[in-house]
Amino acid sequence: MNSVFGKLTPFNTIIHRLDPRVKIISLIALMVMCFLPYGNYANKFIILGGLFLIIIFIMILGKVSFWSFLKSLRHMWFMMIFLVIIFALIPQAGDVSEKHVMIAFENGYTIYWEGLLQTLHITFRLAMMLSLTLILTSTTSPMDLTYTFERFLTPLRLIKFPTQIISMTLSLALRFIPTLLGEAQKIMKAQRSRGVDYQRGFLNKKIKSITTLIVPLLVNCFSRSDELSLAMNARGYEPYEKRTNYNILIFGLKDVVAIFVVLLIVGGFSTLCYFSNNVEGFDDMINLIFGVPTF
Amino acid sequence: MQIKCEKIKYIYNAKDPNSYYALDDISFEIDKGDFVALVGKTGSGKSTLIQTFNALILPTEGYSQVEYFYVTSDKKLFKEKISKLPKEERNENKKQFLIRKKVGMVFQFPEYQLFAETVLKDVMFGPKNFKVPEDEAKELSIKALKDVGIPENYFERSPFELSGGEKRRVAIAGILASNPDILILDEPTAGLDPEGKKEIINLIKEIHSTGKTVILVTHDMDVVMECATKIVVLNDAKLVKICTPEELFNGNDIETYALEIPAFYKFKKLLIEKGYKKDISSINNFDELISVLGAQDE
Repeated sequence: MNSVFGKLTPFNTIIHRLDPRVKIISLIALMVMCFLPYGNYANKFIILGGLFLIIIFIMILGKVSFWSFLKSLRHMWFMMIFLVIIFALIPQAGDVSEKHVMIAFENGYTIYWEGLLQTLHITFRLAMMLSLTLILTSTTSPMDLTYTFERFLTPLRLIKFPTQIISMTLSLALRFIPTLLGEAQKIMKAQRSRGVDYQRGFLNKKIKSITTLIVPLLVNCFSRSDELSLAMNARGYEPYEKRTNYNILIFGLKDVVAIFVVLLIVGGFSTLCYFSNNVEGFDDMINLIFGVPTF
Repeated sequence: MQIKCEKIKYIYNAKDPNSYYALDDISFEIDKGDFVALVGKTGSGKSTLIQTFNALILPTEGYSQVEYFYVTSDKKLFKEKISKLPKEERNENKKQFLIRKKVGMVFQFPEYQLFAETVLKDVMFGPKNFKVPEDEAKELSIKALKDVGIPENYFERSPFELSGGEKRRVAIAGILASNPDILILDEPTAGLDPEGKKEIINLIKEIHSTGKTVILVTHDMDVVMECATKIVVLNDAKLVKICTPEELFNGNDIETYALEIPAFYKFKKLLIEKGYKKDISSINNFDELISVLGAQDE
C-alpha cells in the first residue's frame, strides 16, 4: 500500500494521537485553503508555497514518510503532460494583449506562459492534497476513520438513513483492503512463476496479464465475502439492531489546540486571499519582499 | 550443485519502523535430484527463501544461484558473477524471468491462481508464456494433466467447477507443463482431506522419481519422513540445521524448532520408554519395525 492510501505507520506522535474527527476537519479546511483564489500567479505560488511548508511541518511532526509522498507524485506526470497539451492547444480566454507569449507560430497560433503556469498551479494544488491525504491515512487507523465517518453521518439517522450499515460496510471494505492487496500480490507472484510479465509488453499483453490477476482475485473476493457474511450471521449480527461502539472517541485539550492552530491557518490564508484580490499594492508588497514580478 | 544460497539476507519493509529480517545469513547447497524438505515454524522464512530461487524476490544481501542463474539485488555482485559465464548464459541471466521456466513454483493454495475458461487453457498458459509453440504447449499440457490424474473429459470444463483437490492438481499441472528441472511446492497438502493429501504426496513422489529436484515446504513431518532425502531447518530467519530425516527425528532438538515428531518416531520413542528390549534405535521406518516386532512375537 505505497500510495496515497498509505498504511498506518505505527508511531506515537502528536498527530497520531489527535482525535480523528479533528484530523478530518483539519484536512478539509486545509484542502479548501489550497483552492482559494490568491490573485496572480506570483501570489498563488508564494502563498501556496507557504501553505506547503506548513504541510511539510505537519508531515515531519507525524513522521510521515516523505518518500511515500514523492512516490505518490509519480503518477501525476501523465496528468501534467496532458494538462500542458490542453492548455497549449485551447485558446486562452480574456484579453490576448494581457497574455505572456511563450511561442508565436507563423500561422498566428500562439502559446502563452499562462498555460504552463496553470498546469503547474493545478499540479501543485493536487500534490498538496495528496500530501494531506497521506498525513491522514498514515496517522489514523482505518477503524478510527470509520468511527469518525459514522459520527459525521449520525444526523442522517433522523431521516432513517442506515448509517450503521453504511459504517459497517465501510469498515469491512477498509479492513479488507490490506487482505486483498496481500492476496493480489500472492496471485501476481504465482502468475509470474508461470511466466507472466506485469511490467513489460504492449497494451493487449498487459490487458491479458491483468486478467490473470483480476479473475482469481474476484473469485476469492466473492467467496471470502460469502464466508464473512455467514460468519457474521453465525455470531448474531443483525444489521438493523441498535449498536454501541467499543471505541469511544474523546476530544481532549490537544484537539482543542489543534483546532485553534488550524483556525489560525485558515484565518491567515483567507486574509491573504482577500488581500491579494481586493487590496491595491499587495502585489507590489509581494514583489518587494520576494522580488517576484507580477505575473 | 544445482542450487546454492550464499549468505542470503532479506529484509521486509526496509526503511520502515516495521522492518525485520525474514532471512538472515542463509547458506547451503542442493544437489540435482535431491528431495529437500524445508521446515520450520510459521514466520521462520521458508516461503521467502523459496521465492529467491526463481527471482520472485531478490535477496537484500548475498545471492541465490540456480545452475548458471544468479539472483541478487546487489548489481555489482551480479555483474561480477555473470561476467565469468559464457555469452549465452550471461544473456539469459539478464532476462531473469527465464529462471522461472527452470524453477517451477507451486504456491500455497495454488487453485487461487486459476483464471482461464477451461482447464486445458489454464494449464497451457505457462508454456505459452515461455514461448513454447501452441501445438507443443497443448501436448505438454495434456501430458501434465494426465500425469496429475485429471481425466480427459475434464479438459474442456471450467476450472472453477472442480473440487478443491482437483483444482490443486490442475494448478500443479500448470507448473509441470512448463517442464521445470526443479519443482518447489509451498505446503501443497494444506487444506486437503486425507485422500487428497495422499494423492498429492504420491504425485510429488512420482515427479521426484523422474529425476527432478523437489523442494517441499511443509509442516507435516510424516510427509517429510516419507519423502525427503535432506532437511533444511529454519528458525527465526536463520538456518539452524541441514541433515537427513533420520538425523533430525532421532535427535533431541526437534521440539526446540517447534516441529512435530512423526507418528513413527513417537511410537518408537514410546517403545523404548516402555522398556522394549531389542535395539531399535537404528530403525527408521514402519516396515523394518514391524518385522522386528513380528520376529519377537514368534
